Amino acid sequence: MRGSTLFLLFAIAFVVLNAVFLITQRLPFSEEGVGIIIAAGLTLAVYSFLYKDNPAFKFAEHLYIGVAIGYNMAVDWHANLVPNLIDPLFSPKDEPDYTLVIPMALGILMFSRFVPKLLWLSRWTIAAIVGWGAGVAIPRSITENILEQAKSSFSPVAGPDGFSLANVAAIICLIGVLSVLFYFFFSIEHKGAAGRFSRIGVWFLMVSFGAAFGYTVMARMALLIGRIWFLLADWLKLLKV
Amino acid sequence: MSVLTKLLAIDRRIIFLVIAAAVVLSLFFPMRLEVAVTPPVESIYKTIESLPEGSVVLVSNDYDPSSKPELYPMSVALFRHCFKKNLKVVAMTLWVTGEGLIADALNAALKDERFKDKKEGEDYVFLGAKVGGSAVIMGMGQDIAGTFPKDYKKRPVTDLPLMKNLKTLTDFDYVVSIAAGSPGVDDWVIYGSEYLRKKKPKRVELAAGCTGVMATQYYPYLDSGQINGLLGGMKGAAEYESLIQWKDQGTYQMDAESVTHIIIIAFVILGNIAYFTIRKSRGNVTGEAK
Repeated sequence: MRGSTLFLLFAIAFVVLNAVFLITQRLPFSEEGVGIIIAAGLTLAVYSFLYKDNPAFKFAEHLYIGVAIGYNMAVDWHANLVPNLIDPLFSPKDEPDYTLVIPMALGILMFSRFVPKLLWLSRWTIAAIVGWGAGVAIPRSITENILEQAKSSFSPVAGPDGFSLANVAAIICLIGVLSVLFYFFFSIEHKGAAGRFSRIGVWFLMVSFGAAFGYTVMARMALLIGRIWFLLADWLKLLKV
Repeated sequence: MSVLTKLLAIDRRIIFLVIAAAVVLSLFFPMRLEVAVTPPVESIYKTIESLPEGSVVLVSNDYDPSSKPELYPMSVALFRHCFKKNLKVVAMTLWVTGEGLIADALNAALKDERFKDKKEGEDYVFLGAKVGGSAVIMGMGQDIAGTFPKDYKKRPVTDLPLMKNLKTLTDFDYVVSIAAGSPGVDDWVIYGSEYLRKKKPKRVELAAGCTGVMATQYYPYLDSGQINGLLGGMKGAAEYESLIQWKDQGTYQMDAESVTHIIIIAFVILGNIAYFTIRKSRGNVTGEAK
């Protein structure tokens, strides 16, 4: 009961505040002004989850999914299907490009998933996508993610002018690569010297997890700061850049 | 209940409130803390500085509004730097939901008086969004006009003066992917490098900008030279703004970022002190005596 009263009070305060903003022209009574009010309301609705789950949060969550899918479909139609398929096939400048019939047919087959008896037809499209994807991705991924990385790891730890303090990083990197690889090598029991070396690998992993977590905190805080900035600067007009 | 036990059982909503209050206060009363520039960011700056006037930079802005606070300032700062140096800019996005945001970033950069002479189609082009990730990148490696027949404003790409000499990815002088996930930097490295290396005598360099969450996974690419620079999160944007001497959102919001980090570190230290002190005195953290 207390929660719903609080929610109602917040909703009334939000409506009154925005009405005042629009009447006093603190926010323009235009597409932009109304857009800012909607965005502010949705931001507050999403952050209200930090207090506890509530209908405002649920509404914002579902609205986001619906809008994102609708927007995706509309932009996809105009930016991809029309210029890449519809126009070249049905209203071309010169000759229609009939090779596009094949991908179009494969695309249409995906809709067979809505008819249980014809569902198997969609597998042809999936097979084409998987086949193309694997053929294209595997050699390139091996080149860029394995061979290029291995080449970089195999470079000499000392530079052409001999060893300097700058090369310490290369040595640390070398120890890190070897010890972490060894940690995931399970054919030898990790005891004694082998155990100590794999322990070094664990430390390297911990440091990398720590760095990743630190960056994650930074990213999450940046998102929070961005929204608070929006509320204070764009909505309440309390901040000036 | 001792203070330390209370500290361990603190309602998390109090922590949220403290963080929110810290952010609001730091935005109202900025301390203008210095942002130290790191070599990966400086490398992108130096590459753009070294490009001769008229060179063309491709900026693939692969994100949407959910990553705006971190990546939007990067895009704006990069566009401003290119325009300041009289470089041509071709912007695009592999994220359909980011199309409007990227158009806005380009407009935000062009708003300045100094860039009022920049002409769309001649000095800059926004190709818009295209789904397909790897297929789009490979398509651009072979035929840009075939991949993007029309720009954001539905004009045939072949009619735009800037695009006349841009047939494939090798015709660009620098490529930067600012990304929030997939498709993004990984796709540019895996599928784009093959084409970027074809340029002779020297390959087209590729740089990356990404959210903080992703930054650590791109350091190996940086170390191996597959990318020549990296902008990591809001800090990366603030560093770049500092380099081009054009302070904006990235810099202003970094104060709040630093303050919240200090508070989080303080909470972590306090929590650990409380945990270990209680464990030492009672045998375990739940309070049961040995």
